[in-house]
Amino acid sequence: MTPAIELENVSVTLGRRHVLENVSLRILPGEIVALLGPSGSGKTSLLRAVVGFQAPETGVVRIDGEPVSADGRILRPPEARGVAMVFQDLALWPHLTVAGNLDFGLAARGVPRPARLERVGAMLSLVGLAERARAHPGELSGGERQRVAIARALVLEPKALLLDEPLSNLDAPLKRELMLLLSELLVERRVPSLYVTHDVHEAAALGDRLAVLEAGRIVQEGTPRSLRAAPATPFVRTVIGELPEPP
Amino acid sequence: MLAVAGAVLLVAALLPILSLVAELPATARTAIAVLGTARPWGLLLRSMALAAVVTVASLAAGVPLGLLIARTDLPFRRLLWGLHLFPFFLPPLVLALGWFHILGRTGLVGTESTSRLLFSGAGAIWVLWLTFTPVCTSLVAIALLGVDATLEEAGRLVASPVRVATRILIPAARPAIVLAALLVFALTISELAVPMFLRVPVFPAAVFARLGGIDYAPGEAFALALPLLPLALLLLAVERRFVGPRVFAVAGLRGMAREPIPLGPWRRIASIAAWLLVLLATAPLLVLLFGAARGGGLTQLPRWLGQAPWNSLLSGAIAATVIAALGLILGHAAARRIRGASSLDALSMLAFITPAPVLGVGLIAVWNRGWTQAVYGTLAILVVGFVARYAVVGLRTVSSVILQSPRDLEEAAATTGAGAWRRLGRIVLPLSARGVVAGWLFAFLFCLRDLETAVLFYPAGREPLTVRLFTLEANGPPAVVAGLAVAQVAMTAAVLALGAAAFSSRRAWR
Repeated sequence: MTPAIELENVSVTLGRRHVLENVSLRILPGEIVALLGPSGSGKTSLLRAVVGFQAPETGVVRIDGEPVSADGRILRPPEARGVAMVFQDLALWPHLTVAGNLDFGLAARGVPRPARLERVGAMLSLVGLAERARAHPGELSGGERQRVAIARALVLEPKALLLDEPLSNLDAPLKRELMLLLSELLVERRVPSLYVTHDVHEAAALGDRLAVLEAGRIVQEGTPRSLRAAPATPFVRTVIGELPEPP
Repeated sequence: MLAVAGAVLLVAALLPILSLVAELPATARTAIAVLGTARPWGLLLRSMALAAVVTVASLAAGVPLGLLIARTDLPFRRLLWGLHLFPFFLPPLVLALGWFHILGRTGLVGTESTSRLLFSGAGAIWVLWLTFTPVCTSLVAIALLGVDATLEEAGRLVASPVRVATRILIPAARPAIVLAALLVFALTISELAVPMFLRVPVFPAAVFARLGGIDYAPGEAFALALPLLPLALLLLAVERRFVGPRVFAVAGLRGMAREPIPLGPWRRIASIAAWLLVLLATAPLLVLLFGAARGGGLTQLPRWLGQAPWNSLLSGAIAATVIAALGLILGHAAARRIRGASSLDALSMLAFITPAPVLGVGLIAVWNRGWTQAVYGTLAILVVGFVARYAVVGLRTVSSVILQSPRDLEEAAATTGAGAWRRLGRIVLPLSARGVVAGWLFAFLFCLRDLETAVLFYPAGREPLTVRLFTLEANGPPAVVAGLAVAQVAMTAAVLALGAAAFSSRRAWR
């Protein structure tokens, strides 16, 4: 089966610092992989390499089997990769309405106006924001802004979805509510997703599989159960230890 | 996109400078003859000395005033800043004329000795100091408003306000201070009208004299422009070393809402000093109005103005629009560190700090040809000259605003499939619209006040108002000359008022 996203021996250097070293990772169609790692481990750099904001010095990034970056070169620019992303600080365009934020990408991809209106309306209903379509991001609550960011990514029906710690900085009840929503949307739509987080509970709740990134290297991959059975590093042992014992 | 904008800048700004270098072999003999005498070097030294004195004096007044405006409880700070800045947007000749109506032999308080004082190097320094000090004040104030509040608060926990000001705030504004010094030096060394009016021999006047009148000798003008080229490169090297495309306008005027440093017993003295400086630069404008009204200059004005204001407004508006468009593309590229943008930023700065005679003579060399008369013989040459000289105004204004906007917003657009033009038009432009409007307005004001560049190549019969004022000043009726100066003031004030209205109506997105 061709992976939706594949990184093969990817290395990224920022200045003199090696932020990713020979990272290899595959995300299969319909699979949700949670990338877990402490701050500064290179999680965001990995996402930027996948989406095309950062060219890896060495290695290859493939989307649906097609090389999109290889050995320091961007072969396909971000806008032509068909990958959507939910940013850590959401990056909602403040001058566009909620509907405008969703419509923007569809218009850029040449979707006819009637189809755009229909898709935007349906997606906003799905995330419970149909009533807020004409509001600007500055007028929304934190939870509503989060929903807009998720809806903006999913309305494009992307080949793959990248999520960069989208639920960090939220209070516990809101985080639970949005995790439920995300889980429903991703599972229902079978969008291959790479979910970056430093919270093991989020990772375990959403990911079919966990990949642990430490100091720019993938140190272990597997299910929470397999990680618990044979943790590869002290960090893995510590974070997996935070999860409740399986029954 | 960047290539197109870069090409426009290269044609407008780099070609004239390169053409001077290319003319070297042809003008070598003339150059040796002209530059082999002591007179041009003496004039150059005198111009550099004048520029150095004006720069030091402007910093001495502008840096403390910038600090007072940005961070202290000086009363009516915004009003004071606005009034202080206004004369900078006028050609310095207007202020010189105003002081002539005060200190000249027939002026309000004029005597033989005050007139002698005004018509001297000291008079030129006085007028240029009053005109250019607001550059220092404003750049320092803007830089200080952008200083992270916590830096200052951390200092105020352990040190006196004076110590915080001198050890934390002023050092934080160092790039702005260096930039201000460079700009004042460059503007002063390019200045033509004030020294000529006050009978102070300077280098640009020698170049100008060879491009018109009885000393017409364009080859010698080329030769005289040559020593200014290394000076321009030296100024650029200083700019790149200490300033570069660093960000200043971080917080805008919102920083003024922060808790100001109390001046205590010094508040009264500081207020008197600050308002006295404002008075010295604005009172001459009122005296000009009085002089024009009393001598019938205002009633005769329509006959003498001719098309000059329209030439100014039309060429300035077109140039400002081109500059704003260039500013959006190049400013965005500079802010996002796109390859090649830094070189284009440096080129635009070089064109601005290059003494005006170099750029003017270079533009003549490029465009005064048979097949380019459609440009050289029309207002288009003014547009080209203004774009060349003032592109940096738009570029730096827009880039400083774009730097405040998170990169994520553009990256998010890219992930949705939007190409470069769509991102620029739908995301970057709306989010930095205030910066683009401000860049357009500043560029327009710079074009309106320009005399030193335009006077070298303005098309016959299509001179801007500044040039009309300059040419009539020598032999026109004094009341009419005062009236023309008042017209220039009124035009600038109207543009500023309209610009401020447009600016304030634009919503700042959160």
